[in-house]
Amino acid sequence: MNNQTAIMRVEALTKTYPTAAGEVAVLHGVDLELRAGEMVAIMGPSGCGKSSLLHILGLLAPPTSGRYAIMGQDMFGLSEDRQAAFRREYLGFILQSCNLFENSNVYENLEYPLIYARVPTAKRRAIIERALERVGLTSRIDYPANRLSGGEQQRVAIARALVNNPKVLLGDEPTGQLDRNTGGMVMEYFKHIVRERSTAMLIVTHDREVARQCTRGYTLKDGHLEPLLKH
Amino acid sequence: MAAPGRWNNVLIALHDILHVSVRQVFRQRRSSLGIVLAVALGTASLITVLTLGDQLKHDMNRDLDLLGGATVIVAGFTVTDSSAPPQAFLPETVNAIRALPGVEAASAATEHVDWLSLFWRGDNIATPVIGVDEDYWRASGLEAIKGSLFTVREVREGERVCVLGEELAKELFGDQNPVGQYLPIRTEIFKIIGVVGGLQVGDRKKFALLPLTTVVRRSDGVMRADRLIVRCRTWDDVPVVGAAIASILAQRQDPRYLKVAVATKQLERVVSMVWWVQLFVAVSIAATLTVGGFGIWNGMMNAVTTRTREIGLKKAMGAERNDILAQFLCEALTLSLSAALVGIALAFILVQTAGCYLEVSPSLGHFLLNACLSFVFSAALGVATGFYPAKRAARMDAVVAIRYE
Ligand SMILES: Nc1ncnc2c1ncn2[C@@H]1O[C@H](COP(=O)(O)OP(=O)(O)OP(=O)(O)O)[C@@H](O)[C@H]1O
Ligand SMILES: [Mg+2]
Repeated sequence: MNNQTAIMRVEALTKTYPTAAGEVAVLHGVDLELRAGEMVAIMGPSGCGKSSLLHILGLLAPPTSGRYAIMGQDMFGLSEDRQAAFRREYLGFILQSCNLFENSNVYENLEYPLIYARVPTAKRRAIIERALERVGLTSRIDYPANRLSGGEQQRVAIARALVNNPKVLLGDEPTGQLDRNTGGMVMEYFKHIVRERSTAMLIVTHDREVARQCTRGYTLKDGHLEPLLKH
Repeated sequence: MAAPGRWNNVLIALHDILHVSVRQVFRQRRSSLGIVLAVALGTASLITVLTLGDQLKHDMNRDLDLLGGATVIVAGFTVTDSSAPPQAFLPETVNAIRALPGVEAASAATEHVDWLSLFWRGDNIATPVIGVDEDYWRASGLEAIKGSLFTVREVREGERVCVLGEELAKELFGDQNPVGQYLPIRTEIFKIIGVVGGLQVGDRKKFALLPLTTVVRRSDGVMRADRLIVRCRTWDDVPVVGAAIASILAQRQDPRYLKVAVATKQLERVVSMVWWVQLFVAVSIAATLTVGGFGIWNGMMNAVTTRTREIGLKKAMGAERNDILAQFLCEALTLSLSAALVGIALAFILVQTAGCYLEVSPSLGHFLLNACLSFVFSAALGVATGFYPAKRAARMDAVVAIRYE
């Protein structure tokens, strides 16, 4: 598995925020490689820049400097619309909470990525049902999103992130708001998906137990990643 | 290969945008309702005014005129030197004036009133008599309250018929119907064919009105067609027609003694009043549409703020700026166009009702044209008011949006 080529590769990534008190360097010199079937955890104290890193890797924010390639293609030189196209094709996001469009039902929530990818209407239902099947929520397809439990909402968010068959899943504390049991169940889904579909996943977490279940783990400290020692 | 695929994508996108926007607006119908109603009311009044405007103006002319006589021009002759021959309007002059554009009716009548003796139930009653032609009724706004009024035939033949003013009729016949009865005037017998009354009748309620030719033939030259009454279609026509009378007369007869009287004061009052009414209507419509437009703008601005998180999530899942822009713009359009549809339906009812009330049948084609116009106008309103909020949504920083709780 280690011989496989990297899906995503980051080198010497830096990020500074301009503030009233001067430049604040949040990331300096982040190197990371993600291969298919890998699940990588990133830990670190609050405010150390984990979300910032995830947003940069998710092409939602530009870095200050560094190189970043997905499937060998350089990302930072792309136009905004090309980046959006990469997000559609290769990336899936799962956030801590409020992932869903509250006024829409489960089907409609999962439909949006397909709308943006211009998938023909007739093909959508089958794709959405398959994605919901993976998180065991086929029966909730016509439920309004705001009637679901917290765990169900996160599972729908996972299904939505999967609907476009992304190569990389990015989770920003995806189990942060869930109790231990539900969180454990969601982690099982992640592991299952990553293994079965050779997806790479990056999980930002505060939970050691979550990190323990990953292939590798890092702590973001002083703006760069240090390998996490297992146990 | 690439081109049809592209078009297919555009079609999918259009269908989705429409579907999603209509759904969104419908789900937020509570907050949309006020906006839609405001725009709908504005649109409805716009269509109604456009469709009935001409008709209303004409009707208003007629109604206001009944009160003020502002669109009536009266012409006559003032002869100062005694050597001048008696003046009268020639039939060809009257016909030429009748043919002018903007003239609703032109009538020749006698200026003088002849007091003729009427033998009635043993009494000898002196009765005022004037001679009028068939256009007199329309020109001076008189209507038959009983029977009928004489037409071109009676006037041409100089028949012995007469129309009574309502008071005279009452004096002679009480509650009996005078129509069809005969009246001995001087040495002749005249058939009564109708009675005139109403608001406009004035002095003439005591008169007996006879065909102009009948009166002129029986007179020694005092009774002649020396009074001209011209009713114009609208007040805009009054100055033009007033000026034309003199020149038309000059081509056919001696113009030296002609005197034309236009009710300038009344005319000015009526015109300014109508101008204010028009201004008021225009301002109300504009205000309603402005309120509606502002409502759309404000509603969309609020939506952009309250749906920040949604925008962030959509960007994260790969929506491009144009996807977001199109969606918000389409929501604004959905609002304004559904308002236009409601407005058109409302206008249809309004126009029908008003049409019934005003006793006119507005043309369907005219209505449809105005409906289309206002539909286009509403679309423009939606785009104009929705564009800036939509642009803001599209430009929103994805990270800021995604961090927004
Ligand atoms: N736009 C910005 N401008 C200035 N400073 C910012 C901006 N965004 C983030 N920061 C700062 O950068 C630092 C890193 O923020 P970030 O959200 O990445 O932290 P985090 O590791 O995800 O924290 P948490 O665990 O609490 O979510 C914080 O100190 C934050 O205040
Ligand atoms: Mg964070």
